[in-house]
Amino acid sequence: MVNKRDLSYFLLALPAIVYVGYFAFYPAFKVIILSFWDPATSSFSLVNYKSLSYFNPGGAAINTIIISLGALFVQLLIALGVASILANEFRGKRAFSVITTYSLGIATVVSAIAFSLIFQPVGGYANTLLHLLGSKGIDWYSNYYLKVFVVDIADSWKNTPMMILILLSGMMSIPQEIYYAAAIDGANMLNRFIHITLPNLLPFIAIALIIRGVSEFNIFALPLILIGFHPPLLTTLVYELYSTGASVYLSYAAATILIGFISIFILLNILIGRRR
Amino acid sequence: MNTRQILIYIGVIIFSIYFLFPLYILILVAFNSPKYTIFSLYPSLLLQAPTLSNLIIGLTQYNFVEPFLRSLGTATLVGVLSIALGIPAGLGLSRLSYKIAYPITLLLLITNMMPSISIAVPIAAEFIRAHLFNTIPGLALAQTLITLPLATFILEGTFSAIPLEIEYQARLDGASVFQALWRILIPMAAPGIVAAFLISWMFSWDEFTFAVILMPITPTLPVEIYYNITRGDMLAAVAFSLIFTIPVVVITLLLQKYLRGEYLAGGIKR
Amino acid sequence: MTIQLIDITKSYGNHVVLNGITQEIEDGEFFVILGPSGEGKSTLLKVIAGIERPDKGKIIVNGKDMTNLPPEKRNIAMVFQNYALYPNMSVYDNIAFPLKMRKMKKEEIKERVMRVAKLLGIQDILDKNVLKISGGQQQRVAIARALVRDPVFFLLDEPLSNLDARTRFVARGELKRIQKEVGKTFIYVTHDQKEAMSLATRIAVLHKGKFEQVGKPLDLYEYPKTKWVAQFIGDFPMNFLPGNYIGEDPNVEVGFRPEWTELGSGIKAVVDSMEAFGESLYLFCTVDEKFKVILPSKEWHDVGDVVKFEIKKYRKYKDGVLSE
Repeated sequence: MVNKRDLSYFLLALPAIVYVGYFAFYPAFKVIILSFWDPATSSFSLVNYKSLSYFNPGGAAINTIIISLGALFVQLLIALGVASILANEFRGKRAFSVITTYSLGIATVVSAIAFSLIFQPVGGYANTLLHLLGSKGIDWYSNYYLKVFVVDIADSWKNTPMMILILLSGMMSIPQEIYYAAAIDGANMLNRFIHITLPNLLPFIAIALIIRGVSEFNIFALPLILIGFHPPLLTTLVYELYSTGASVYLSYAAATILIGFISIFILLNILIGRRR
Repeated sequence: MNTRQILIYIGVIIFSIYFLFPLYILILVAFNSPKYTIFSLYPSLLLQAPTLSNLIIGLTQYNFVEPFLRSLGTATLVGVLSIALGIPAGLGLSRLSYKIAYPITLLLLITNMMPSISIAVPIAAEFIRAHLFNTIPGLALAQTLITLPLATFILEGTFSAIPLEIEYQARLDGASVFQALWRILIPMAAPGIVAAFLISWMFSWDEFTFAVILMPITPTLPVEIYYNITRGDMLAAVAFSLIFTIPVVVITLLLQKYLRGEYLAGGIKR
Repeated sequence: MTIQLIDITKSYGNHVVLNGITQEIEDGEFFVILGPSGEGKSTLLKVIAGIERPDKGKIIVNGKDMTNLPPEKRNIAMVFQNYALYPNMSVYDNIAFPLKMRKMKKEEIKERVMRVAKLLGIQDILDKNVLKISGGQQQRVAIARALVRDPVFFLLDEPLSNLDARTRFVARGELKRIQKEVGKTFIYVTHDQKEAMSLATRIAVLHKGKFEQVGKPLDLYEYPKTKWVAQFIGDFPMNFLPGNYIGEDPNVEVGFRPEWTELGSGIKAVVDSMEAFGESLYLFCTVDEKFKVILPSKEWHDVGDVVKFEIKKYRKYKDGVLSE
């Protein structure tokens, strides 16, 4: 039963609904439909996907997955460390919390520049550090794994803060008394982390991984600037196909594959949201 | 000092270096003579020859002002659009019953996850037809997709914190629905509205994907910086980046209170 | 000026909250609606205020049907349990708000605000932020805001329940004084029977969506219409025993207040526990291992002691309803 009060509040939300409907859902729908459209014969077919296969979309998908998983792993590790420090009281805590979250506000383009200065193929500050440690500099773009590493590190620098904030709000929700009780029962710091912090934090880790996972699948500017179109990711592939003007329908097909992957995350998100 | 504190400070030092190092490099390259930075095989970690000429050359010899103004205009418009749509939506969501609010929340959440690049391409085609391609209003309309869900969730939280009784009281005191909104609810929600505006502003200021696809000819600052890099004008890119970053750092510091997991996690926690 | 409630009915989903309430409230009455939490007292106030629409029924004030008027057109003042002060305004602006909404002149607003501020003794805090004053002061500000604009009548939703015991006691007396001074109808909701007894001209006991009994406080205490009211009103619930214990028809129950008994001889009871209440002691006893009774006592008794008591005054109830 919809009463009058609900209706008037619904009307308040309506402009926002219409807006996202027109600017997000309608284009997404259009991409999916048009990806099956063959402009040559004016009929629906899989021809765009067949042509797309020459651009190795499967490889792009795998690269996207590898880069995303790597970035999530690095971010989770750092975020767990930083959040467990921030859950304590100590001198300089405020400063430390600013230091570990400010990069959230640094533009992706800017972080890409900072890291391209650090990871220059020749010269560059990463090589300076290696040099100081007595080793020779390396070309950070000489192979696939180093490229993945460079993108993941640069991405983590910018995006770990969000994970820190989510995990920290999770840690703050664990009552202090449980820790006292565990300490009295003889658990040391490591035991308390393993037996209390981690299990209670699990739902927050799941949320953080899903939210960050979606964004990782969508990373675009950072790989574009740091490694260009090779190896391709789904996002850079869409852009390459679009900007080189091969055929806009090919970019629609690649875009549809990306939407497909993101839909999995959306479903996961809804399922987890339902359970809470 | 006990072991616990020692461990904490070791962690603080390591993580602080990790987070500060890239910013330090950026500043170093900006203010050091290029001889010791980008033209050096093993560039020094210290400031060797302080100079302002990198910045001066970057900001005078390259096209900086126009992209800067375009970014400013776009971000401000995105902020305005986000709160104009977000205030009614946030208020509505905070007052609607769960059964109706949940699908709307879900809709915004899905919007938030939608890959920008996938929808930017068809939007570009649409905008060319509507004469919105390569315009500030067009770009702002697209970027608001990213900011509106967040702005709405922040405002929903703000309005939920206002007791219903205050709204009733205003009505009983003789205020119409609109007067109650304008004179009581909006002033009470002011901190949340400011936060929603600033966060939207900041997200637009940083936004790259829609910007590069929808406004490629007269671009905003992030895209102009990207063009500088592809052209190999690294010093100009660094100079731009530094100026570009200042407003964002200021806003981030202002918004510490609002940069909380709950908001960033969107509707998920409800 | 009279307020007529005619067959007010309201339900949420399948849950019937108000089940056809019909009642007339007279001019200048301090009318208290009393009932346990969750019995729809606040819903009834919201319906009268126009915040909620009744599913059925009418609200008529001075012969005028108000059922379909929005709240801002009813000119009713309401004080909420949490006071609902506007936190973005000073004390002065809070009190002035209803007058501003009526587009009154600045000088007149000032004069009126000053007058109620004086009546309530809050002249000194007028320019303070409402979040920076005490709970007692907040409550006065809420009442001042209700008084300032000369409403048709007042609705008060447990306005004293957020105060500590001492302030509440003072505020109770003050409220009564204010009501006398302005001489207008107050409709007051509470779950606290003591508060109801000390404030009301008449009390309406709300139970299962209906007014189970409406009457003067003393009548409710002396002649509760139903067993339920008898047990709800009073510091202790009324005691009940089958009629045969005092030679009445065994099909009726006799109800008696603890004060209507005397220890000494008569019916035997076993002491289960004891409670001190003010100056007197009360014994919680069981008669014949079945019936619980509460008896006042002047002496200490141990648990397990056997006492005897006589009933000096009683009422007869048949099927839970007063039969006299």
